[in-house]
Amino acid sequence: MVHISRYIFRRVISCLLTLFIVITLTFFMMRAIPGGPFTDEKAIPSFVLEKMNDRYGLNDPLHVQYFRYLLNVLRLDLGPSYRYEGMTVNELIASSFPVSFTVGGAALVLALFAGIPAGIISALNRGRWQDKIMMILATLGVTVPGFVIAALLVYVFAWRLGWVTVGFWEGSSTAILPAITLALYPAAFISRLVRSGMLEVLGQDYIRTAYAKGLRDVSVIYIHALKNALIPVITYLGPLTAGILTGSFVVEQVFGVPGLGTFFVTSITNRDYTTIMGVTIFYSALLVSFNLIADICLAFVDPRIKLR
Amino acid sequence: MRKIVIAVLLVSLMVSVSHSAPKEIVYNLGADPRTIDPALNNASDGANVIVNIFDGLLRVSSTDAPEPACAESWDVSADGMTWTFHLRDGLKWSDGQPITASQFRDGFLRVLDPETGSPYAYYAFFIRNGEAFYNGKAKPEDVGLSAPDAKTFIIELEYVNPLMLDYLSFPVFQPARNDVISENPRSWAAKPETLISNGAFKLESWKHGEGGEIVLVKNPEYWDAENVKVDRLRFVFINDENTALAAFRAGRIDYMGTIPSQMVQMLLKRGEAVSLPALGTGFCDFNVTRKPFDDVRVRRAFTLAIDRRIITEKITMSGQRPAGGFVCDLVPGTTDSQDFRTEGGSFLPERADVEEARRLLAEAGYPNGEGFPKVSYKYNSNSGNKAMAEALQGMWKRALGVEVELLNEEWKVFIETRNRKDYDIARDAWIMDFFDAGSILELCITGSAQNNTGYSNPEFDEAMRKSAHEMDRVRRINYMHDAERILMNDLPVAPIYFYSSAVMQSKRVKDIWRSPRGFVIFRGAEVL
Repeated sequence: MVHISRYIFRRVISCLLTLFIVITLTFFMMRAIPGGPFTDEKAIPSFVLEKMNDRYGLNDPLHVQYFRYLLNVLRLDLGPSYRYEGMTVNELIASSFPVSFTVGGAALVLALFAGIPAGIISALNRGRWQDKIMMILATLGVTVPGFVIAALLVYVFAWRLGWVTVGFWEGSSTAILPAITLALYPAAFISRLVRSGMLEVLGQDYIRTAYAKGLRDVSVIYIHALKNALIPVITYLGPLTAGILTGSFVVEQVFGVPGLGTFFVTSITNRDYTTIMGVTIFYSALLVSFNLIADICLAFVDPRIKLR
Repeated sequence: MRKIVIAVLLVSLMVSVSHSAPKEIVYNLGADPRTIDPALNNASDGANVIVNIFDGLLRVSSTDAPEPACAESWDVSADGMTWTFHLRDGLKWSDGQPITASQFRDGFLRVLDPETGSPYAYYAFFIRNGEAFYNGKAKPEDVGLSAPDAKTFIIELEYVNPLMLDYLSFPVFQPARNDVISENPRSWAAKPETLISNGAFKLESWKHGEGGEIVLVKNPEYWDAENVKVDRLRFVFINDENTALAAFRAGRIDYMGTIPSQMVQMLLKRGEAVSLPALGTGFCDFNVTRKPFDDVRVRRAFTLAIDRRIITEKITMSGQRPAGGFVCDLVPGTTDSQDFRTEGGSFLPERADVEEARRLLAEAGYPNGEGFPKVSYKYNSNSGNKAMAEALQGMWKRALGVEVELLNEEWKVFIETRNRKDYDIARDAWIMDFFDAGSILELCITGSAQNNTGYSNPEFDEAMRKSAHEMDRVRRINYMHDAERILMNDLPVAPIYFYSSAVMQSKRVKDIWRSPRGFVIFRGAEVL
């Protein structure tokens, strides 16, 4: 137990360090891009722009702005949005993350419930038609980009069949198509991970021993083999969860989902500095946390892994 | 039997109408506005909300001319420098409080207050001491705004402004509730609890971002509420044009201008979309500060090599007109019978004048394009601009034998590049704020923030200066004709086409006013 808590403590420190580096790099890279929040086709006269920049403290030396920002982040204050007058970045994330979480969570569940069985079926029927069909589907799922799938789903279900309307967010029923779109890639990826993991494990001595002891197929496959075959999946789940829960620009645009993913792109095109920083920090924090959680889970699943 | 059926149907129809749900119109605004604070907004999406929820001294009418709104009438002093506005009786805010003349003073001062950081602050510099106050050289009391009583509002001018009434109907000039604003100077306009307005509609809710929406409801306190026939407006933010079209087809959107560009032509042909003229010009900037476009012959050669008809018929394809000058059609001329463009005539042919273009290029020292330096055309990345760039590149190559490199940049990077004059030829376009030729000609004034070409001609500046302070319509517009003639002689810009916008409207709504300036006004709209 001492091991684990010391390990977690050290990992948390390194996570915070990672976040600090992410904040610093993002801050200076973002300010190096030409253009600013008020750059517009209708040029604002320079004397007016000067006053507007003053209001937001954008005329201060960059390092002053940087340290001021760091201090605010320590207080968990991500600042006011430059794009949405009167809104703070905290408010933007608070209102859009739950939506992304719903869609992403559903996609994650779908991906696991489709990917793992598909991988098992493939592995157990290696080389047979079941395996071939699963692997064709998996290849499609990995190679066909999300925006194509999204457009196809809109065409079939919204245009042709008229079962759903897109563009309006009306809770969980409108989450289905975006969740399917988001789930396809990870489902395919997971099925391939499970398949190769299973195949590797099934050829190992301890499985043969288990069979030799007279254990039944089911318990060998689901208790002994699957547990080890899932190790790569757990590793993959860390970054996947962080990515899928924070939404996708393309999927949100096509289906009109008011999620967080859109802000990752629009904040940059708008030069909404505080929002760029806010969503980057938020995503990075989720990413390092889920990676940490995945690593801890691994230690419990795989006795060979020691937390040091 | 048939009669009975019809009668039953009619009765049931009447019943269903009288018991129908609130009359609601859904409009795809496309983007979530940055702000709907009248003093802080300078974008068209924000303006489209403001014109529907605020009401100034004057408002934009269905013909786009300013018409009396909160001000019932006004008097002008003999020298034209003092304007006295008389407010209507019984004006109220959406929370029921009376509107007073001093609140107009507060609203106008707010635009000028440097603390506000209004992007349109300079629009108020016609007010006496407005600029001085903005620059910290005068106190608020010195600004030429006063309210001797609750119903009288006086504006004293710094200089005569021929477009003053148009300015006053512009979304930036609104009364302000300082009691509310002072508590939340930045966020009062972001939330329905604090956004108190005085127009035909009021804000009910605002959900930000993709898939979000602004909901407006009829403001029962509006002085003209009896003529407002819609109960609710939903302004949705569907940015993806294909998604918007799918939603329109599904009957979820009643009005929108966000149409996938590759489908516009088909939808226009089928009558599902209509093309409305817009008050704007698409053009090229020539960088006149460096070779080879410092030579007017080269600029003219490049301008004449463009076939404007092909561009409107094969590239833009949604009702744009070939531009014969810099000022687009619909802009008023010296009389009401002809617009500015018709009066001024065409400076440029619709089809390319290849012979003349070649002759000019040879005269400039580049016969058949030989020895012409390497130049590039810069544009901001999007598919429409790319198609246009490729068409221009082909035209220049064919007509002049000149190879023009195409470079594209991300939107804000491009704006900075262009403003810094780090280009040879650049894409440009302008939508006018006012029905006035000066609204676009002023881009070419020496040193203007929007002067992307580096053009400077004292004669042009002088003509523009004269027009800006001339109250006599005929003389003023003639000055602007002079200015355009000078400009089209120098050609720092190559006008290509006049804008239009395609819109789709469901059959269940009517009388939504779409101004060529881009305002979409629902005050007179009806649900059938």
